[in-house]
Amino acid sequence: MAWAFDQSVTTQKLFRFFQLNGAAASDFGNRVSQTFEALTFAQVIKWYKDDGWSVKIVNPASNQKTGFRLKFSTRGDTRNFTHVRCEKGVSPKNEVVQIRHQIRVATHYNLRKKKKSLRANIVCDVAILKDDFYDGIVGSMHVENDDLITFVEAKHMNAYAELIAGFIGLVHELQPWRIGHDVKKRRAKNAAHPKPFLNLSGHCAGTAEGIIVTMKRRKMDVAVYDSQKPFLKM
Amino acid sequence: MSIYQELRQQLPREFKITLSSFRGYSNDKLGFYEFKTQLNGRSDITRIEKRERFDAKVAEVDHLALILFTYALYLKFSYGDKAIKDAVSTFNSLGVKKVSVGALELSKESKYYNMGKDLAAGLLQCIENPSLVGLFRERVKFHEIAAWFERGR
Repeated sequence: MAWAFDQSVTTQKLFRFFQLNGAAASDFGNRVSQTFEALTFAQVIKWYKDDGWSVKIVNPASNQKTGFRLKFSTRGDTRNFTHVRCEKGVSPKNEVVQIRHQIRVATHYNLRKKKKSLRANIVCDVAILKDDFYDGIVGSMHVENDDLITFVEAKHMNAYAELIAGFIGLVHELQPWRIGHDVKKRRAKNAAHPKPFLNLSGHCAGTAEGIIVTMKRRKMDVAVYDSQKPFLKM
Repeated sequence: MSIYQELRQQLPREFKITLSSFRGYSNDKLGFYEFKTQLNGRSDITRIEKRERFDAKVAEVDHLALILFTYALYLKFSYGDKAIKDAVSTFNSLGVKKVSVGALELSKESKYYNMGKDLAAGLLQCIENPSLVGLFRERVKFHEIAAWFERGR
């Protein structure tokens, strides 16, 4: 057989590579997904800034020395992490929103008072919320669904059909009117903000592309961005 | 123990899983199970010949799995490098010079800032074939790497 290259030499080199760099490679892999969520958070802030909103970064009061601080897990107290306050227009006709990350939001179907569940909530990687007091939200506590304007899910991976379908399911739980049948209603509501989107570091191919085509056909008020069609051009 | 198995043994756990999934893909792509069934059913060749042909096929599957695994890691490091650099530059444009995410610090001074680039370059050095390196750099789809491999047989 005329191989294009010598397998044993390549394997030996890979062997040495992992002997030297295995721990670093593993560590880097773990860090990158956190980084991608941080990048998505930054991109959303930049979108608001570029759209003419005044942007104020609010760092945690107890943590001024380390400055801008993002959550590593879903359960930390909101007081201990940075959020961003964005304002547009002149009072009293101004609009103020907060950009938060890793925050639990009650599902749309958790509204009926008699049947309200404490745990029917979902962590949003990035959530744009009406301006309010959100300090001290910890553990499985959540903000109310009515406070949610839009949200973003960040995934450091290539897309596959099931991932896209999972995102549609997330939208169905949080803002079902975005994917419902009443097109006019969903266009008018929160039109000044980005539609909920799935932000991917990799690319959409194969069956994922197929699902996205049908999403557009169904006029869903959601978006999917990837490395080839990014949310913001860097 | 084959060199493939030796390499697999010393990989971190999550990379072992990745390598195994590419091994499965390579089995399918190169028709390993059909080959094995046909070989077992043949009576016109000796057991020694069967063993030789079987070993050659296993080496071929290992080879493709390793190439695809290396490519997957190359993409992981390259995309990771881009994510870190984009994050730092976007935060810088917002006036934020340093971000803490748990124990991770995002800044130009962070040890992670060039780690992805260095790891990706290290992997490319393991691959000696220039045309394969070219495909890696172009970030082609996985089936195109497999097609390149099959053409080289």
